[in-house]
Amino acid sequence: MLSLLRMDCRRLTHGGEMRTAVLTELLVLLFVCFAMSLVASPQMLSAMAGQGAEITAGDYAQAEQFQQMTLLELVDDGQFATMLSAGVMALFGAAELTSGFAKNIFAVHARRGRYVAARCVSCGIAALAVVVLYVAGMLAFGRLFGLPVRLDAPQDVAQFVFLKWLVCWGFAMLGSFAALLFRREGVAQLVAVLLGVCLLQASLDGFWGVFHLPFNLMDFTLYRANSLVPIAFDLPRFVAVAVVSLAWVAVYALLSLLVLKKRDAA
Amino acid sequence: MDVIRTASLCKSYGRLPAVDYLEMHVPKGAIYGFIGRNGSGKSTTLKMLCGLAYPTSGEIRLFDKPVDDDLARRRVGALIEETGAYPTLSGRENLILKAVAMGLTDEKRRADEMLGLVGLGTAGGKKVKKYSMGMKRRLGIALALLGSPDLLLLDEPLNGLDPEGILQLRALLLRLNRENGVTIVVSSHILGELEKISTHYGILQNGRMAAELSAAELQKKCRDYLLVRVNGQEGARRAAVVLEQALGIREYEVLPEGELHILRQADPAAVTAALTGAGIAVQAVSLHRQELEDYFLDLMGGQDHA
Repeated sequence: MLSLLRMDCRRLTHGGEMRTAVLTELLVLLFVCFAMSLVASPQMLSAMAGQGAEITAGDYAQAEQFQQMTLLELVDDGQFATMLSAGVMALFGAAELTSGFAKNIFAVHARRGRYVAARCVSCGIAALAVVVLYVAGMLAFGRLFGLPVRLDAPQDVAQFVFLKWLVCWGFAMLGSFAALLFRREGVAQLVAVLLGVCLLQASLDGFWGVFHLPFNLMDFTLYRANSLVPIAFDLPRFVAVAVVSLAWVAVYALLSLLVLKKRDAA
Repeated sequence: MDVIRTASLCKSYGRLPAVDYLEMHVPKGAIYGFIGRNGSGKSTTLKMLCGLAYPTSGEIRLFDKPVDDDLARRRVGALIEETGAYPTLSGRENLILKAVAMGLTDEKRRADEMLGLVGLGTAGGKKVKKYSMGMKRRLGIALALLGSPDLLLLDEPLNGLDPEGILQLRALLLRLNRENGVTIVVSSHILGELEKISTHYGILQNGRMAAELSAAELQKKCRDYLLVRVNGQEGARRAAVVLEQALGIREYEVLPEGELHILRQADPAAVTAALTGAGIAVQAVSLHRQELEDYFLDLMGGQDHA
């Protein structure tokens, strides 16, 4: 298993998938922080009003709000990190199969469980890289564009990064599973990104709400776990997010193993 | 000891049996030529032997161990169908990745060694998507040779290689077999090339072993014949009648375009005289040895191509 993990780590650092994901993430953060800096500056708003733009009191209030935001409040984004985690591992896994390199792996490693275990760990590594880069990038670019990004308490940042990492790990495993299931880069990535961005889950959540049942199945999804990640430490939410995320990591690992045991590798 | 042994090996895709109760025995140290028509089950068999496909039923043993034994699998190198390599990475990087996956130490040196061995020493840094078909094939062979396997499974390794490449590969396989005792299973449509290196043959037909024999046994089975060429198909039929009546020759084959193969010992001069005397113009008379291709075609029951 260790040799397979080393192989994955080498490909994550030398291959194009992670590089593209990092570049995409940095560019998006750059753009987001730049855009935020425009709407967060009362002086900029006044200048825009002077040029004839329609700037309301609400815009000034929002700018004031941005000025008071902490790093975690800025980062608490929604689905970008989850989508990126799912997308990069879908591409990573599918490339192995479509290129045929998987033949080299499965001819040597009879036990598919070791492959899945190694991939599980490399999904965790990729997800951690996405989350850490996201938080660090937001801080760096925010300060670069003059946003007064206030740092949260270190323990709050640590627990946020930890929980966000677990959620993104779950989504990365989803992407990896999609790659094994569909074995085509385009399809796997599409499925992973659609689920990573949680369009389907949000629709199901809304649909479920119509029935006013005492429970909501969506509470047990990664989508809900992502929305529950707290900015300040909150034990019940911490446990809920951690348990759900790790459960889904295990579920996708088992599903991946099942697919590999049922289908030929080539 | 048989390095590969299969017992009632079956593989079906849906209701279609691709491999049908295959019994295969590859002795240690052999170069086993694996022959069959397109769709006869060669690639499917090779995939099952290296664990890429699950048998529907039956048993495979490698080095007298089950096919999913880790130690047995470590001793196998395989090139199955297209070369499996990431197109956006260099040939060298692909080799390094496989070496890492195999747990080999000093992966960079091993990768460079393999590149040199297959003649890709200067092209190792290029991305695989820029390789020609022949270069990709060489890379596939290099990937198969990583880890110094005791058993090589090569599916159409000569595809895309130029004549020089074919010569080099032949020399390499012979060297590996003779000096290192590597057992090699090669499937190929180029029967002439297989004949030059194989010590054993397995001939597959409709997923079953039609014949499995050593080169020495094949030599005995391959027949000498006297080739007689006359004018046209009608001429060949008349010639057959004359040979039966005049010389009592009944062991012959009439082939298209006026060709006759006399399958028993016959005096060329007597044959020529008998035919000429009957007014049949003889265009050629010569002694021939049946080759692997002829034997294969005979076995397949006709003039179909491999």
